Amino acid sequence: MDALTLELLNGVSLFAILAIVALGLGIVFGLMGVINLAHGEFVMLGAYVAYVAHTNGLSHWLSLPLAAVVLFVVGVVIEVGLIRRIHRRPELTILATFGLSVCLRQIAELVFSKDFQSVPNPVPGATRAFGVLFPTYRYLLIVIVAGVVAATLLAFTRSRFGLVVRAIVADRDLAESAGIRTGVTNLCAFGVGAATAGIAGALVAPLGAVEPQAGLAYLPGAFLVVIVGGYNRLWGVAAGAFVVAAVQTGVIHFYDAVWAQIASLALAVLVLQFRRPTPAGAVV
Amino acid sequence: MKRPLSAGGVAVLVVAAASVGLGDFRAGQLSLFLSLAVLAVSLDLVWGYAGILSLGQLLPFGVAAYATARLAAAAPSLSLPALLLATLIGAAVAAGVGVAAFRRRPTPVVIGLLTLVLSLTLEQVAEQWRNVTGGFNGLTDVPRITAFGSEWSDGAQDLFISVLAVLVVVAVGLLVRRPIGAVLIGVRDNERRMEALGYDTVALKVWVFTVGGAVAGLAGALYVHRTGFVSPQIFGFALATNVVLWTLVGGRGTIIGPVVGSLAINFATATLADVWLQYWTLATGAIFVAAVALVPEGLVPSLLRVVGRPARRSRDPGLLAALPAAGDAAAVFEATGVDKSYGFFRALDGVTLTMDEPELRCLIGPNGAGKSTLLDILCGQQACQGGSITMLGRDCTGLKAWEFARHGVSRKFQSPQVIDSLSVGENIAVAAWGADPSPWRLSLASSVARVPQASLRILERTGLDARLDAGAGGLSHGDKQWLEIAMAMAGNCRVLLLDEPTAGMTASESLAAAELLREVHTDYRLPVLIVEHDMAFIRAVADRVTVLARGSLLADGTVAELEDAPEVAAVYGGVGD
Repeated sequence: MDALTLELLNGVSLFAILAIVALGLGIVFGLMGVINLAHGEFVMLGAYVAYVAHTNGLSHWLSLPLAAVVLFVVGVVIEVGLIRRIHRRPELTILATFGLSVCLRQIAELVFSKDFQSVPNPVPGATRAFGVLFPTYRYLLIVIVAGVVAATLLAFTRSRFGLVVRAIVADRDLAESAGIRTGVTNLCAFGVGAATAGIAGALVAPLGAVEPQAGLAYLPGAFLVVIVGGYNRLWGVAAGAFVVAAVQTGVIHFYDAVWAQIASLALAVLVLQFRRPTPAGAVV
Repeated sequence: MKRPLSAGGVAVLVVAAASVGLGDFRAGQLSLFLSLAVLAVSLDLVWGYAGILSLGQLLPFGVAAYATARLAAAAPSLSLPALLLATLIGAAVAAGVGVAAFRRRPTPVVIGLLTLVLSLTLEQVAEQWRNVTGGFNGLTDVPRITAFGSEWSDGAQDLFISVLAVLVVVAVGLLVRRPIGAVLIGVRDNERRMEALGYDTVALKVWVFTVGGAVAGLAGALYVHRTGFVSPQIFGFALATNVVLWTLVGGRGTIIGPVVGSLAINFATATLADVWLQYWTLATGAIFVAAVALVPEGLVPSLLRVVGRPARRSRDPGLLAALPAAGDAAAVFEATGVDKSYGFFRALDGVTLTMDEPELRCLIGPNGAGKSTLLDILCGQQACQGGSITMLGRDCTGLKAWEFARHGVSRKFQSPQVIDSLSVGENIAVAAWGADPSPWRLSLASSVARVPQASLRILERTGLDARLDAGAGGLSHGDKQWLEIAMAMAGNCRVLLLDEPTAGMTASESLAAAELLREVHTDYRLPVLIVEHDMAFIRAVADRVTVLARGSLLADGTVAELEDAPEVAAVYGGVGD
């Protein structure tokens, strides 16, 4: 019983990590039709923000908003310099953001070296709840992710900005001719997507090594979430993250990480077989 | 036809001379980079021609490489047959992925992601499955090719690999000059049009993915003999995307471009990586970004354009008149009790429409009456929710668009749908080949197309026959309309459905169109159903008119009869101008 509880809690924290990584990916894809292969590198940069904050004696909790701001700026610069030119051609964005991911990894390596860095856990120790001991930091992580996701969902559904966004998702050309400045919205979307990745990176920094290749690990999981959950709606991303996390935790419990990956891939292929076929010639 | 063959001959000689003359080190590099160039060419076939962005082209390549390594260790004397086996393994892997990925028509982006994740997953599998793959370190000490009684020297193997690689590239280059090349471009440019011409585009994609997998499998076998080892990184992110980089930088859809891209970037990497160390990786990333943002069509096409030559020349494939088909005895079509709803909106409510004899019928009605929906259902573009469709004596209810087209139902869309990247003549030829579209036949057949007289008549009367080598993308709206009508008549066309053929035409052009359509209808006994609004055109063209209103049949008769009918005038204020 306790083992099961522990596994459930592990599952929930994995779900939280997947959800916040996939959230930014889903915002950028759903809104702009842009697949951002450099999203994992945004997460990696967020982790480095936490590392730099730590080496300068700042509190870890301060590094979360800091990472959001830094990555927002990075996202805005990249949107203006690159994505803006090609965002209407999904294939090209895949390739361009891939090149970008190579550059970001290499820049991180040149600045911070290949060595693994670590960020100390701000709240070491465990909390006893539901009859088991579970790391306190992971409890906090779950709460923070829930807060970030809820705030983002609210912003996209309840605000004027959210209305504009939904108009663009429904019909970009019509929205443009109705006077909506889609360029500005794209800029915000890409910046916000990058900012959530930054928060994700800073959040997971104390849980593992901070290194230039760290972002690669998040990509397959995040893309499986997008494939499984669909990408037109943010709740699809949340549902996808939940299903992928459930499958992965379940399989890891009984087998190992590789089988977990295979199982979630099989799930994605299965979902594709039952998804309503897209009309011939559709682009996104 | 002549050009790639002679260019291929020259390339074989040059590569053979280079392999012998450059010294062991350079010859070794050349054979390694050429085997990777073959991998890039396999991607070009899949991505550049058929438009499938596969980020998992390493799947057939890597699986074939592992299989070759195991086989070379177990039975070294079978190296040459093993190359064939590797080709088949590559094809089988790609076919499996293709069937799983393409069946439900996911978007190109989803296919890209899925193939990428598949490749990354296989990397992890290869790391874990130690007793077969050797785990993280992979399989080492793979022997060189052994044949005719001995293991070959490095020099002999390099020469063999380089020459074989060039031959494979030439073979793929010849393949895409066959009809299949134009057909794949059609699938890339306009899938809906191709389905309406009788092509099963999902099957075509699986086919080209399989052929690309075979080429990649052979490349993997050559690669593993050349490097002497294979490790899980063969499925990794770096190689998976580098091959895309070579293809992109060289130029998609050119076959030669990816070869140039592979050789240039790999030789540059080999030379500069030592000097620049980590800055080179940064540079490759930057090249990738710059290539996408600045020269998305690739270096080779861009350079060719500078010297004033398109990468793919617009050609006139040669059109011959086909023998006239035997007339149809059966009724043309019978649509009975057709229902179709979109959500709560009933677009068609038990509509019954029949045509017993070949006639020229117009379907009219106010906007939203269900005309285009009915036309879509009559050619399989949409499925009906109730009722049945019999076309030319056969029950076609529930068939797909390409099955309708092969059965003889041709369709022109409301906004003209032609294949922009192909010439006028190639558009007609692609339409004509749609009558018998087996990819194997299209890979072997000559590019000459046999086109029904009716289609040739349209080309002749509209002046398009003088511009068969012009690019279809550059035609005016009106010319595209006629090209599409000629395409619709070029295949196995026994019923013609036209959706607003005169949209965008002036009054005199519409009357000329009516005259031409009447002429084709009379001379070839071709049944035609036209959705139209233009009453002057309808008066000039129609034997009979059917009026639809709010998803139901309202009236049916000659133009004169309907113009006097009060119930028609009531719903259709526009009748009688």
